[in-house]
Amino acid sequence: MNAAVPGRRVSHLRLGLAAAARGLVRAFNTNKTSWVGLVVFLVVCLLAILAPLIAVHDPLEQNILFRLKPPSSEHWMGTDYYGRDIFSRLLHGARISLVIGLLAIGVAMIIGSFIGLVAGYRGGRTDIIMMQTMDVLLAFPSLILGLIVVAMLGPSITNLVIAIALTAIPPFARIARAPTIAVKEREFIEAGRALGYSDMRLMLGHILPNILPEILVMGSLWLATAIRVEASLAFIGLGVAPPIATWGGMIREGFENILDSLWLTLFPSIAILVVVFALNLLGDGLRDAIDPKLRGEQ
Amino acid sequence: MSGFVLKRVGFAVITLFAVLTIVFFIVRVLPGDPALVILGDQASMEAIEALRARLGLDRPLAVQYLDFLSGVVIGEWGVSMVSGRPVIEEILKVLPATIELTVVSLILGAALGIPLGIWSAIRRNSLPDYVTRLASLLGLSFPAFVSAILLLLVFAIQLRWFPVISSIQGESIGERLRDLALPAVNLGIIMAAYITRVARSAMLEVLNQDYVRTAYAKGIDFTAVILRHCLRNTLIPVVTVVGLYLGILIGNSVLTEIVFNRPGLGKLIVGALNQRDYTMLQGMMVIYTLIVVAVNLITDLTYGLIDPRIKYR
Repeated sequence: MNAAVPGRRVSHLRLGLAAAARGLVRAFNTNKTSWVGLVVFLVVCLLAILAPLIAVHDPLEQNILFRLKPPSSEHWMGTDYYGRDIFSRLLHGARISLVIGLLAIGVAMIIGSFIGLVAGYRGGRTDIIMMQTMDVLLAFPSLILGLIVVAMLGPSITNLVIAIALTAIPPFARIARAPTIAVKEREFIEAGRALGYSDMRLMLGHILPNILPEILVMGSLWLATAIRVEASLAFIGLGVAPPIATWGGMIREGFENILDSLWLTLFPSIAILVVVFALNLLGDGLRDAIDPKLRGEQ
Repeated sequence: MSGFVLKRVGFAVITLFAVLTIVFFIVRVLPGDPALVILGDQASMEAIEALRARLGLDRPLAVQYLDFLSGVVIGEWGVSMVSGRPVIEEILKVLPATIELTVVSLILGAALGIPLGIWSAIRRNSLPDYVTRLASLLGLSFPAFVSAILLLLVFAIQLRWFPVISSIQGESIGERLRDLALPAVNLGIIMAAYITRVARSAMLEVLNQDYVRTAYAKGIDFTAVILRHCLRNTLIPVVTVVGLYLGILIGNSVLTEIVFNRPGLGKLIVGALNQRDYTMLQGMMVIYTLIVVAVNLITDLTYGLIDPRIKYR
């Protein structure tokens, strides 16, 4: 796969990444439901990016005369307690959910994979200490950990990213470690070592591309979890501070008026469910395709 | 056997110690002086110093740490900054409600998930299998508070079958069950979604084993093969996963308790967060740590019972 031609400079990283991309495309084609998940997720991303263009109303603009109005042609999803347009808030809320989810999982993916790579590559005592630490972190309920970190640091986008990333690091360390142990025994790693490549170069340039598909699939599943956790924290009251629209925060506000204004909770609930389900479909299908042995576990 | 138990217990103690250390440092080291947070920006230096002394925050970190560890062991978890009552008392008062909820929902989840997962595996790639897989994936996509609100809307508000606000003050068993029903169903269905998937994949793997083919070849009938040869081997991964998903179960129980306004650890921790009750928060983290470590230990020991091979490793 990473055959190095002596005397010629070949970008191993590019070869490796191309192989990883081919693996993912193959996985997509074996499991068609992944496509459904991906398309739905991309549509949501597009809506979030274009939110200022699509949303006719300002998500923060209050209008006392239009309080708690049911869905109409003017306000497609109705208005909330302050007369704000639910549809606009939903679109802008998508941005918060996606930004926090993507950043948190990005950070967790980088740190966790690096820990797993080093633990698997080094082996021995480094491995034991690193993975034990991960297991201890994994043992603690992630929502409680997130709750406490956000409560102590204060609810801002950065702190939510830190809190959620912290809970998602251990699974990435685990998923990166196992294949690393298998790959590091392969001949091309030995060849690289004989050529005098540094450990860091071998790990990042040669092992990482080989284990990248697994990590990315895990990423899509954990992105679903991250979005769910962010919404849960916001529902508890630890989301990005109001008046900024977040899906969990909208449900929290709507829950107070649930008896007479059902739409306040209904639309953001559906939004969360659609995004999380799409990501789970995507990741689950891909994982089945990549490793049939793992079928059905999370 | 005793060696296996000792090793597991030893490991649990080390984990407990490690997590308690993390808990201690999270509360102490994260930015924000508890005394300042409680009293607010307007407080005088003297008042802040006095509160710091009362909370023991002025002593060296090492002394506080040893105090904390010994306190955990002897059950002195400090006094709530808000109610003034011992933290451990407040926790123990609501703990049974949370345990009741989680245990019942776990039983519900297993009773629903294990047969469904096995059935789905036996009928692999048939319509029921696809429906089960899609339904379970949908089930675990539900944030617990969304499904809780949905149940509340349909069964408590529309149909009026169950009380909107559950309590544990119900006198008779019937009342208690009515209060427990919706929250337990909410948590149970989500757990069932996870368990179904694991049971299915475990069963698929078992069905491919040589001893299953041998059993069929000997002429044992289908039901007996599934029940006597496959079920027990399927249960090992299921038990592991229940241990692993404890964190999810606890998180979901917090959300469920909030939606149904049901007393329990979830409502206690959210109250403590809103009121910045640091001693209570620390106590909550200790109790969650104890629960997690205890359940993991039980899970580990259960394997030994289900699978005799594990004891000798």
